[in-house]
Amino acid sequence: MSAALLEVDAISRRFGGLNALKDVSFSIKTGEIVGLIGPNGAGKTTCFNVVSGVMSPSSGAIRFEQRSIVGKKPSAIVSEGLVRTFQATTIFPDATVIENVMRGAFATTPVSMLGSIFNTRAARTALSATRSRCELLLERLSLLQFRQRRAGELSYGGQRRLGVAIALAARPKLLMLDEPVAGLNPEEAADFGRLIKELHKTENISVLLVEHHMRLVMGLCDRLVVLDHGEKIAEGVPAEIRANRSVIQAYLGAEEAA
Amino acid sequence: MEGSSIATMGRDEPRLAPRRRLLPAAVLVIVLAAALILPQLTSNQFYIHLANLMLLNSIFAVSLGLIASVGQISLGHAAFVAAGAYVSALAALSFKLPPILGIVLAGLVTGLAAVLLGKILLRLRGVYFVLVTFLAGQVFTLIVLNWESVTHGANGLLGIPAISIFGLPLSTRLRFYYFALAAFIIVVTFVWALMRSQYGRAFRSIAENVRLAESSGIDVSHYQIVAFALGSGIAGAAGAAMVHYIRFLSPDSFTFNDSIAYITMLVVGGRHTMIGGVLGALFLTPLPELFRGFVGAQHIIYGVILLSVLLFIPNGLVSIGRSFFSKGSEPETPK
Repeated sequence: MSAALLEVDAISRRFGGLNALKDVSFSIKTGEIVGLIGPNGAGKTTCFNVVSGVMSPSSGAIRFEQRSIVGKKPSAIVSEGLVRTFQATTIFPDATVIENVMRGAFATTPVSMLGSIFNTRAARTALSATRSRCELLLERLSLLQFRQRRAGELSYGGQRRLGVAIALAARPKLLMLDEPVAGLNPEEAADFGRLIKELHKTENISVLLVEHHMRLVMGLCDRLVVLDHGEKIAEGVPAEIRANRSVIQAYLGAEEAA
Repeated sequence: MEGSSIATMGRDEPRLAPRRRLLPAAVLVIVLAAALILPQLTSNQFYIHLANLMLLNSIFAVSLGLIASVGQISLGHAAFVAAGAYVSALAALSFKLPPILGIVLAGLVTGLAAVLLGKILLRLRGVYFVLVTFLAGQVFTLIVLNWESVTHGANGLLGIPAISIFGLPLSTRLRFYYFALAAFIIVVTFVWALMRSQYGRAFRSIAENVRLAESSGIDVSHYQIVAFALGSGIAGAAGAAMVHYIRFLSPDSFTFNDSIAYITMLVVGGRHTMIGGVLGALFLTPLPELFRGFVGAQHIIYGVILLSVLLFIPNGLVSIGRSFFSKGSEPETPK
């Protein structure tokens, strides 16, 4: 059994009197695609924010490649190889598409800051290598033809793909996607699912996915973690989750009440 | 800011055709030659004085633009200018420090002060940052006013020496002009190189989308402090240069009104580009003088011009020039 890439160990997060997360533990192994699901308000996004360092946990430990990442800045966590996307604000709308990806590659561009001011030969070489890498990413995400266009002018689906390209440019080992297909039509959503699967292979990444779109999640994920009211209520392969009574209750609790 | 603000200028466009590169270079050479020769052709001291103020104001506006490039607007910029001026003036008066070193010292002190202040203030964003920088500026004025044993309070400091380079005192307006021009070129070149570098990329990312910048591995607080410190340090050094030119300094020399004036220059010129700050300063500094004849109405005329610029060219004067330059040779239209 390969070692866990990400270990989330009994994290809790309180907002005033509200327990947004209570003793949640799960782990992701290298190469896995794991889905984080649950009804609205289950704490999925809070969990995402805590793991990516946007907020700190009230208690508990988070280890990435066996090293604790609790208390690190989000930017430092990115450098460790854990990169996330956001639900809505995933691009730099006023910059060109290629510049968006170049910004995503900021932390992984091996250039000294001073060198880039003086525009040394080393800096130019490093930046042009990064540019080629970013163009390759754009090609994989079928965005290359728009490279000079303002990112805000892309279609909604295009902006979503660009968000993923920005994240991939940071060379993630674990890519955390926050509702990547929200707002896409069924066809686009299915395309996106295939894309994630493809990138999972070509970019050699593990994926943690928060998503409402059940068909996508069930088809894509190796394993699912289910949250409800801030607690983990189930974990397992999609078939197990589909048959799990407490999961059905969490989602369709109204059925019994009715 | 159609993709070719300094954000992307010359980076993402495919190699410019030689002719398109030649034109800006030629314009640059002509402007520089004019800047070197023109002052020799006039004996009117007032024009030269005005040119000196235009150069200094350009530096103030560009340094404020550097801070604005991370998405923060400082209403206390004049306080850093004043702080630099006091550092250098006091060092010259009390310790006989040569003004040229005083300018360097002023830049370092104000830059360092900005680092310390920035660690606290830059946690705030938007209107909160604006308000707190306003307060910080006011507090600074009060300190200067009341710390009489050092600053001479409202009486101000008299007899501040002129800058002297290799024994040549820059005591005439014309001599200072060439010093100011050199300083201006150094600052503009530095800021241009900075904004073109990875720093510029980080600054613009932060201005456009803080959360995404941070999750792209850009340490937001670090780069905000860098921008704030560099912008304030440049302002402090330029304030010091100015005080060795005006040779008098009081708490009224640089006030909140000046902070507003720098912001106005930046906005009128075009706040998304470095050259915007320069254009704004070059346009607004001499403007009031044109209406000297209309006593009483000059503030009204000034106000009307300001409003018209904001209404009709919201991206600033720089956007006029840009549409002129790109006419006939669109960079590349996406298919």
